[in-house]
Amino acid sequence: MSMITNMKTHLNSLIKPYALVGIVGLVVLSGCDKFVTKYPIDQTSVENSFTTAEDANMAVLGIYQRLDGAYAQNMARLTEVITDNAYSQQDVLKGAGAVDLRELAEFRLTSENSFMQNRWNDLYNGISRANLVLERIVDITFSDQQQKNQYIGESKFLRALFYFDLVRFFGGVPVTLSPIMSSEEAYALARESEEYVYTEVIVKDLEEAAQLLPVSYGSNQLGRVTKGAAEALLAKVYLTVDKPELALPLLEKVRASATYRLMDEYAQVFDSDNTPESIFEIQYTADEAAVGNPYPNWFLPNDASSGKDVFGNGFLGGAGGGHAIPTSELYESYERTDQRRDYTFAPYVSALEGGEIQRVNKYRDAPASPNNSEDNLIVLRYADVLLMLAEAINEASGGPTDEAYEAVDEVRRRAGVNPWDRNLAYEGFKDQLLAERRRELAFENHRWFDLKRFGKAIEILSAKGYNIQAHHLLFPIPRIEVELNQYIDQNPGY
Amino acid sequence: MINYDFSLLGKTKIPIDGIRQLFRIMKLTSLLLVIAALHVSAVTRSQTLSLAVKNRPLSDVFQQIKDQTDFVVVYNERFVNPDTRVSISVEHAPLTKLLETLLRPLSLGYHITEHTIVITALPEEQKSIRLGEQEAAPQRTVTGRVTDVTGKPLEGVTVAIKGTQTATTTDAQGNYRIIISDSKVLVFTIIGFEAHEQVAVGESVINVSLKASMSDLDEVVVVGYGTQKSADVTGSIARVSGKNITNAAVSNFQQALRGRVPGVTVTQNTGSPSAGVNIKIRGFNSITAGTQPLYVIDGHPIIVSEGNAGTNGIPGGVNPLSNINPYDIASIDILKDASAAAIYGSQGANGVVIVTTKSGATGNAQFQFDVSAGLQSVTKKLERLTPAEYAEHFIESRVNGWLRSGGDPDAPYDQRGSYTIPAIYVDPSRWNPTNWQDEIFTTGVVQKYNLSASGGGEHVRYAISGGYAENQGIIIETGMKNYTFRSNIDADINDRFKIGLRFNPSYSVHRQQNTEGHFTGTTMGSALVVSPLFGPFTESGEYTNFLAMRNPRGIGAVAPADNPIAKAREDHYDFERTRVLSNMFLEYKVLAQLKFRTSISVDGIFNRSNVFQSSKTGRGSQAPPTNPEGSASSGQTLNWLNENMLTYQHSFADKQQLTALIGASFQQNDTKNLTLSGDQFPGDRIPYLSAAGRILDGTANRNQWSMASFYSRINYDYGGKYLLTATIRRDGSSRFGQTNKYGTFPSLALAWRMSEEKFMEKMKVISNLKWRLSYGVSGNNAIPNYAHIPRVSNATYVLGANQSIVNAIYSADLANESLTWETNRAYNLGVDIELFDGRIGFIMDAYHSITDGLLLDVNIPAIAGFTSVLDNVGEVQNKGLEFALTTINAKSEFFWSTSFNMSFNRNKVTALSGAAGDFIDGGTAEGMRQSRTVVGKPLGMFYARVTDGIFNDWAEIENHVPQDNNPEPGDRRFKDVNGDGKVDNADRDFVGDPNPNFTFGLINDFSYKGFNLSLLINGSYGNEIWHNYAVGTNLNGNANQDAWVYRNRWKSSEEPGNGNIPKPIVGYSTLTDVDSDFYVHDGSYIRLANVTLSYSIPGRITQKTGFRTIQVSVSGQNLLTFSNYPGYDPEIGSGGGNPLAFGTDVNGVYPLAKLFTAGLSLQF
Repeated sequence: MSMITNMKTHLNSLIKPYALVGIVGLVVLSGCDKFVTKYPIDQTSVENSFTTAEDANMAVLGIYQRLDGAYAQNMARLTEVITDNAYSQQDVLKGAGAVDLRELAEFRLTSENSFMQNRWNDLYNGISRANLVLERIVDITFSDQQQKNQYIGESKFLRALFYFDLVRFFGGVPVTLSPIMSSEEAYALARESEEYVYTEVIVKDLEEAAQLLPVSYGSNQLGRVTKGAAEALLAKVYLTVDKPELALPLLEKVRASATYRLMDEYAQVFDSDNTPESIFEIQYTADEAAVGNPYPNWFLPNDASSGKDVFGNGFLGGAGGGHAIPTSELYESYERTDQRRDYTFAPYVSALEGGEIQRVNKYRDAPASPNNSEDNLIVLRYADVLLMLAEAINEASGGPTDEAYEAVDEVRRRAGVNPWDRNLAYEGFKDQLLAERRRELAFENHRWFDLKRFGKAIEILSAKGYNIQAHHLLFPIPRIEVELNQYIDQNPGY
Repeated sequence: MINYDFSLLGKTKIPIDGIRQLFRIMKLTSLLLVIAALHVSAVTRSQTLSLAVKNRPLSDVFQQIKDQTDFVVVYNERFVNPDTRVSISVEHAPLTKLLETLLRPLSLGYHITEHTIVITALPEEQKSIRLGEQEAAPQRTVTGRVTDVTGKPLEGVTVAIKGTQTATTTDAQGNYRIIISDSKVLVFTIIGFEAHEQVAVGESVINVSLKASMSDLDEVVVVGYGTQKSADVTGSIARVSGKNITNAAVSNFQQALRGRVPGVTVTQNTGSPSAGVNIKIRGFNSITAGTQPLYVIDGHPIIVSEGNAGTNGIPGGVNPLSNINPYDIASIDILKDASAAAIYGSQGANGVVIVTTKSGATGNAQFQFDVSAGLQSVTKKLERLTPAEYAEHFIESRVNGWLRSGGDPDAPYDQRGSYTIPAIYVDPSRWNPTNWQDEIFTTGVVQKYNLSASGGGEHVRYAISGGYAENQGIIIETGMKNYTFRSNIDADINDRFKIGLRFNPSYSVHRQQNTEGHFTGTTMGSALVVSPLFGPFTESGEYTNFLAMRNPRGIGAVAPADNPIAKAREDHYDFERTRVLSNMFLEYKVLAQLKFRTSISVDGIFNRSNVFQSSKTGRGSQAPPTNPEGSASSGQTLNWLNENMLTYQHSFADKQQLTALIGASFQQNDTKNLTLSGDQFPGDRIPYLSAAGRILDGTANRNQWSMASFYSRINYDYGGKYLLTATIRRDGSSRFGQTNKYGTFPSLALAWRMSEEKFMEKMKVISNLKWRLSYGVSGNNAIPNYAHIPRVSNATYVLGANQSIVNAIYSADLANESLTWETNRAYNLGVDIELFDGRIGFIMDAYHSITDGLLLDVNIPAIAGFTSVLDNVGEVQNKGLEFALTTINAKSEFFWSTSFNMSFNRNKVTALSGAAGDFIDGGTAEGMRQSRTVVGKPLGMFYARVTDGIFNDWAEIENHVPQDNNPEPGDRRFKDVNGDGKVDNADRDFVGDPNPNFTFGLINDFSYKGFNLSLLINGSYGNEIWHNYAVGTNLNGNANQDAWVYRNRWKSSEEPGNGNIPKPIVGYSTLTDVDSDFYVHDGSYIRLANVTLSYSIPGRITQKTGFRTIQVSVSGQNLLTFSNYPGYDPEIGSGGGNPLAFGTDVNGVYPLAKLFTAGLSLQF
């Protein structure tokens, strides 16, 4: 009891100093919110970065920038190395990535393959960039409505391209057309059907992009997506979903627009950038490490003995990536007079392989530094359009017409090889067309998609000894996605 | 190469060079000693002087005294009016006599330190005594020895002449020496003992034995924003005194905590001389937000992860606390439970380590000089393949590869394509057998010098010190030099005002090696795998170019590792740090019971690194000559803190005591970082970017955080029996999202000193029995600075015919605006028991802590555009029991005490996030995908395939489920863990636990006469280690490797080896390099961590030298380790502050050293 009384008396003497401190504390506290709020100094925030037309421009270019990772850097592994076009020289001891590359080259696909996972991640990251632009641009005031339309068109084209790659690799995938702002939203997304992705997303985006995009750009804007690109890509989409009759008018439209033409020489297609033959290409320059193309170096043979790369540069230590070395069978598939053969390949004496091999020579700008080359990477070009036109006719009409032959002939003539005899039936024309596409478009990231689109992947690859089975036509969804998201089922067979 | 072997058991070879160097150091030391001694003898107080002044100001007289004696006269004008006119006339009078004559009429006193005469005001009650007695008093010297009742000498006892300011302290043997006038009373005081008064009538020797007071219970413990008597502490706080820190031969103070405190695990990630130390208090309470405790250095909270700006490219890291000189530390107090740490609010969740540095005490200047020098070498070398075995393995693995790939068994060795075996492998005459570990390891010289002075006058006290430490690493071309300075000044301005300054500038230089990392491209890693058939140099004197010797598809001549000697010598990883930590405080006594204290402290860190990779070394697998590359970084961190607090202390009549504290603090951190890299160097001559032909990349970053806090604590003590501590803190941090800006962290602790109860009085055996119960909430705010703000990244794209580079932006991450601190709630129940007047002490604590809202980079479906987001998900629990038992086994002239502590911690993840099937894989580094953290298991469990022996023949393969790597006889068999009828990566399981069952420390202290022996043993039991550097080296035909693995391999059905090791094969990594339980090893160990033997030269001898104490010591660190772990060191393996990937022995980590030092310590 005395304890409590004492407490009381002494509490009184305590109150004074505490009251003082309390007042001081309150005064100080009011200034605190400001003191404990800090914004990034060397970075901007999303909040204040998507508000002007110039912001929109930079954000659209931000989607393009994703092409480097999502499309260029790793695409060849899943489209060329995995097929009969190339094998990997990667040294398995170099690390986990090399093991994964070997898995692809030897057709041992697993859901843990990092390249598979990178593809998935990068493509969705590109989609999220496009979604953010498409959402924010609505509230941005433009003095030039045309400009706004162009940005929307570009974003939609790129989003469609990313979804197209996703659906071609993995089948039906989850779809989001607006930016995901919290992780809960991502967990709630289930796989859509392939058909849904094509019809509700890709086709719609490309149709709209074709409406909004300009036919061409001034020279300082070269590299941006055009109306023709949207039409050509849409045509490819229709061919992929077996609607050649819808592809045909688009391809004819691209041809009729006379915006694009074949270069006179095959070499001219690659020796300079953004040629009249090019419909859409990913832009690089070797001026700065950050914007150079790594692809060419990775294609160079991996060889430690020479101390120099094939261009005579010492810095590669003689070791290119060795990621994609042409198969001799691909090289042999060209006729001797085929200009494309001598442009696409170059002999290389490899100590590693113990003799002369062929290396990819299509990307021949000497890199400024490893993984930093000037070569642009072509996604769509007019030769592809011509070959697709022939394909569309053959598919739509159940056999080739003169127009189909002429389209192919145009491509072959330029290559310096004789036109085909015009006596082919549907199946024969299709087979020859696939082979022609392989020769014309080697190492331009078409082979795997072509094999699939022509329905020949299993037949051709297993004949050449690859361990391909029916379920391989769809790649495994990255393991982590299946484990994280209860709505995502793995593709069968994995 | 000479192999220096420092094992204790026989065959001790001391390297000649090392001894010479040691002698050189010793000579230097002797010289320094002589100089110091001369200095001291110049100071004498028996000087005489003559003086005749008439009616002159006092200041004039002081000037004359100064001129004649070289003594500075110091006075405070508050007491001394320098204009006072005085007259005095003396001839050849002793200084003291003169001063008496002069000052007595003015009611002034004085005392003399080495160079200074301090004029003081006489306390009122002394004035008369002093005036009456001083005159006739003949001076004499009294010496003696102070011991405890058992005869154990007491060091540091203050021996004062009662009523005067004259005092001295005892040396390590308890000896003192004091000059007194006759018939004085000597007062002997020291913390922990009852004060003793002794009248000195005429004796010249007075020996005293002091009775222990309440044992250690009167010891003052630092509790954060204040101190408390140990007896009154309610939380779980452990204290390590400064003496224990300096006695051990350690290079930083954190190491000295090893094995000493239950619940505190101290591990080194790497043995690099520069590297820091991980301290883990009561298990991992966090996953991503940092697990290091908060360090509070003289009141300034330091987060060790700050201040790393500018360390770009520097491998292994640099100890952020190297600015703290162990010699400067008075004590370290560790706040272990949440109730103690809650006063640090959102920073306290990992515990708090409070470092208090020494401050001066009134009295004559006390100098201390310490020097130690020693040699260190690697604790163990690994047994790799001999050259013959290496060649055999090379051939065997290629033959196996050739056969498996369908090659013709009869094909000649040189016609086997990728599996070709060069002639050198079958021709030993062409070998240059090399033990690469001998090439890169060396004996490092370690030396430390420290000089300090402390003392003070009546109003100003000081402790200043300077230290220099040099530590040459055990890997060639590594080492560090550390310069530390400290000045601690305290001044009483008047009865109410007190000010103080803690000033600690430091500078350190580090030469590092890229030792850590995968075996390609690091010194240590390469040395373990490169071919022993070749030496470092070719016949022409060039570096052997291992990378260029590789042949097809990486299955060639040698491992894809670079020449370790070239790496060590030609590449540069240089780092320097300047750190200035300073604190200025002012204390104002508002009322007798109310004290106000305000302080401003500033921590400035300036880092600079320079990295250069020479043309003579490879880049990854690219062989030299390469294009030299370099980078330079500089980082600057400025952290300021303002603390303001009021402390109210009141004692009530009926033995109640109340202490209340209220305070506010404001802290801000600003970090700037600049990094540039370049290439196109003209050669290797200039390893600086100035020579680069091109600057490749540059970044300049800046970021800030700030925190405002309000805190309060009430301590209430009823009759010394019932104790209560309640704290609350409110923190606002810029790191938290707008919706969660402020957090409140309360705690409550109760203690009952049962031994003070009446009914315990009869139980004389129990001198102290205290129960403690506490609950507290603390937080962890170590998250990225702007993580809650959705940010934009900048990039570039190329457009146009001219290939113009244009700017692009994109959203950098998925933001989380509600991001906030991690919250730790912990209960603690403890008991302190002391028996037989302190002969036996026992402390036990049981705790249960739950940390929720763990900040995790949660994997999210990539559909979101990002693969992860930082979120407050996750919960981890730590339950534990820890105790410390201290016994005094002998307390006569032979003294022996034992202190044993043991900690059991059980860690369990109880939530990761809402989605099903969640897990976090450990580490992102190559080859570290083997750890997985899931709900229901401890953090960082090893997760890999489960081996099931070796397929001995085809029949066994056919009887087994299909295995995804197409095994053949001699290949490893794995269990079909999920029972799906095939073996693939889905068949991984939890194969090991990096968390120990318990850790322990055992300290034995012996002393006899002047000798003192201290033994520290520590250990860990039940933890497992992932032997990561073996991954990718064993049996794959490309690397040197553990000999025990190769020697036990499968050779054929008839010679199956030990049944768990497959056949070697080149080119099939899916056979040889699969992550499995084969890499999991028992990491238990017992280690003789420290032995220190010291001898204090008896006072009768030291007296003649002018030194108060002379102590010589020898010390050894990491002398013996008992462990089954096949890697370098189980502690390295169990280290790591990353809770997701700890217990992983990363490739090529810098091994720990075994260190011998000899030291000399002088006090004068």
